[in-house]
Amino acid sequence: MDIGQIIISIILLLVAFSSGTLIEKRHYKSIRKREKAYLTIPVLSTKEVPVEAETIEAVQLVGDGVVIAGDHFKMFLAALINLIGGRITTYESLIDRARREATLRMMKKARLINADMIINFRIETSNVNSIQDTSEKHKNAAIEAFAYGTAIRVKK
Amino acid sequence: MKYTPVDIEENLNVSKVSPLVQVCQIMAGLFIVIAALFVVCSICADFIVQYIPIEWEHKLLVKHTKSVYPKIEKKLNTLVQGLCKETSSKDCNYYKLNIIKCKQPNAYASLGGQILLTDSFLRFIESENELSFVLSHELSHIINKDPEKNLSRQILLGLLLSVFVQDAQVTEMLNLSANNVTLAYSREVEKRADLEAVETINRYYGNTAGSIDMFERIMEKDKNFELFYYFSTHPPYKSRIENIKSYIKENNYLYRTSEKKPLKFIKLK
Repeated sequence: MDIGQIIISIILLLVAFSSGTLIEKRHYKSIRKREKAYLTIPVLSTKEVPVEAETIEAVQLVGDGVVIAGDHFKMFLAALINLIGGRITTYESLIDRARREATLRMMKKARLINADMIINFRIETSNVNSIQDTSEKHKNAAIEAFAYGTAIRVKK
Repeated sequence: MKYTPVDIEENLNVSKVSPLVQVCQIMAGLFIVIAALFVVCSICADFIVQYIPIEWEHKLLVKHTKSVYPKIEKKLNTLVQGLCKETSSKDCNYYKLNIIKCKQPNAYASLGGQILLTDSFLRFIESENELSFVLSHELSHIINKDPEKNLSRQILLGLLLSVFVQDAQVTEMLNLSANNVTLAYSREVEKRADLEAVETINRYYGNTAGSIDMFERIMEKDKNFELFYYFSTHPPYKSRIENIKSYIKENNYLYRTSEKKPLKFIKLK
């Protein structure tokens, strides 16, 4: 490996690191803002309806998903940690963002139908990478999170 | 039941570790591991190599191709034999010099006791003493089995890395650290070969003149060389010259440039 290749590798990693960090910070800012706005809708994981059955006006399944890709730097660090073991901290934020974004999108749908609460809330997470390429030749960390639940509107 | 929303600011799902610090820590740790692996591989390689007879290597690896400059090669081989007799080697008969056509002036020591010179290198050389120094330098590599050790070490290290590391880019980075260790080791080997070459030409001519001429000429031509020192298998020319000079001074060897032999027998078209 000559000097040129080494420099290109390091530059690529640094570019990926700075762009990834910037995008992540912006995303978290937007997530925090929307979470505050949607705080009034209770989202529960219970199957039982916490209100009287007679008071229910409408019930509907709401759900939405998101796919988030990791950057080059995150994948490089993850591959390094894979060698020695331990927490892959760079993927933690990736999965956290995906789950919260999916939940927020689901809540937005609930808000559109004027729901008062969401019960039986669930999140599914899957690795998009394995759908794209099973040979693992192109390792790009991209995860999909899908959040769904039963939206309930109560008679007023 | 009353629903009272509470906003939780803190995010416990994400660890607060700086990824850059993490990369540096892991890379430093891996560098130490690779250095340790390198030492282990070197010991194994040195151990294995001493049991490979030169006859085997010669039979397996040395191909008798048609020479481009048969007459010059014959004369140079006589010189190699003469120089070899001044060293501690008993396998002089197996050492053979070949000239290859190449625009880059260079000389290599190869497996099976082969010395390869490029024709541009012969045009670059100005005196017999200078040529003998380079030949003795390569002879020192061959006698110490450096090409064999290098190859065995690389194979062992490459095997170990390929077994444990799957990711292409991590392999690239690890190779980089492995290369750095290899280069540092290789520069030490070059220094030793330089000093042994001084010893050989001193015994052969009774004079150490010509040992630094070539380095001085390259330095004049190529001033950017120092910049790439960290990526080079050889030490910088300046330090090689100083190293050789101080060795000659320490041992009180004769250094008389007026007694240098001209390079008469080589006439390339």
